[in-house]
Amino acid sequence: MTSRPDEEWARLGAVWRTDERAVPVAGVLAERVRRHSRRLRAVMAIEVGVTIVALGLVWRALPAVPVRTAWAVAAGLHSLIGWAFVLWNRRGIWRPSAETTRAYVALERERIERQVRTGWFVIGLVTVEAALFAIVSWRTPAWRGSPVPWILGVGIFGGFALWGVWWLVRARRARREINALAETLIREDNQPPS
Amino acid sequence: MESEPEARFGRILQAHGPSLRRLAAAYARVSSDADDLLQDICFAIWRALPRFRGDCSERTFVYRIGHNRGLSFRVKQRSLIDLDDGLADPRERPDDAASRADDRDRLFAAVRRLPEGQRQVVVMGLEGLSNREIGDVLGITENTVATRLSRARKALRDLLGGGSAT
Repeated sequence: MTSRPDEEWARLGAVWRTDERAVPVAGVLAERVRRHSRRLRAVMAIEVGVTIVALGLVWRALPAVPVRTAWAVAAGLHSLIGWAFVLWNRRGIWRPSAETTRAYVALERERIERQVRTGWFVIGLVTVEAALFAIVSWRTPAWRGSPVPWILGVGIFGGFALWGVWWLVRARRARREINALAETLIREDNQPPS
Repeated sequence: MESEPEARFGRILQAHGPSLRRLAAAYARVSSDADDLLQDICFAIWRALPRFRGDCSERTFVYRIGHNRGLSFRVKQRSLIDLDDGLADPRERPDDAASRADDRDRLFAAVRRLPEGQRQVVVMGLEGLSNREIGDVLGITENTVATRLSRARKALRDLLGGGSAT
């Protein structure tokens, strides 16, 4: 080092700021909003489509009214449990994009913990429901020997279980990364002065 | 006709756009990733703007969002562990006189190799923020900022091979 540290720092700052390209405001925002809207519409269409197909399959497969009523109650209970979990799991979590970095990292960790919990919840719920479905199928004489319950079971429960596993793997990976990041930040500040 | 929020957003990007572009380049090693991150930051600013009540400076507000999105990007990209920039060694210098673009690229490559906390303070320090402003963005004390910055400058010097990028 031949120059004084402050001069060197000022020179680095000048080099750093040589990239003065502006951000194309209208293009950035418009494209981002369009993409976001498209994604939301696609997700909603998929959710509605899956629900309609699943309900249609269940309705077609079920022969008697009392059984249909029982399934309606079961579906309602399923929704109730799902929504109760979602609301409980989201408490105290918001999108604090303008918080300080320290607060943001803490909240990001908490958010990812909730995602991990969601993954386990989905897997647990699907397992219980699949077991109940198997028992009901076994005890319904009209279903014995029919492939429909098994197609339904593998299709619906298997699909949800796969989704739950995928979600859990992703959330656990994110947890590893955010924990590593938080530890890096703490370790940096705790290093003895060189 | 442009609405008030759009006009405000436009003013913010006009004032801080180049800084945000450089901030994104400090987190993303590939140019297209940096563009994506920049868009993400702009979008986050757009969404957060209605809730901004001036409890910190506009610059602090913008940098908080920028660095927070940058950290989320790093987590998503799983690039925290793999800090290899994939670019030329920042110490390597071309045989002929280094152009400004070369200097800048070497400096960015060196900054990207810094640990997260050091990179954050260096990016804001190079942009000309005071230690107090940096502390406001990160939620740490001025003393911690000074300590991190001192270490970061030493690390940067080492990465640049004992000389500056100029």
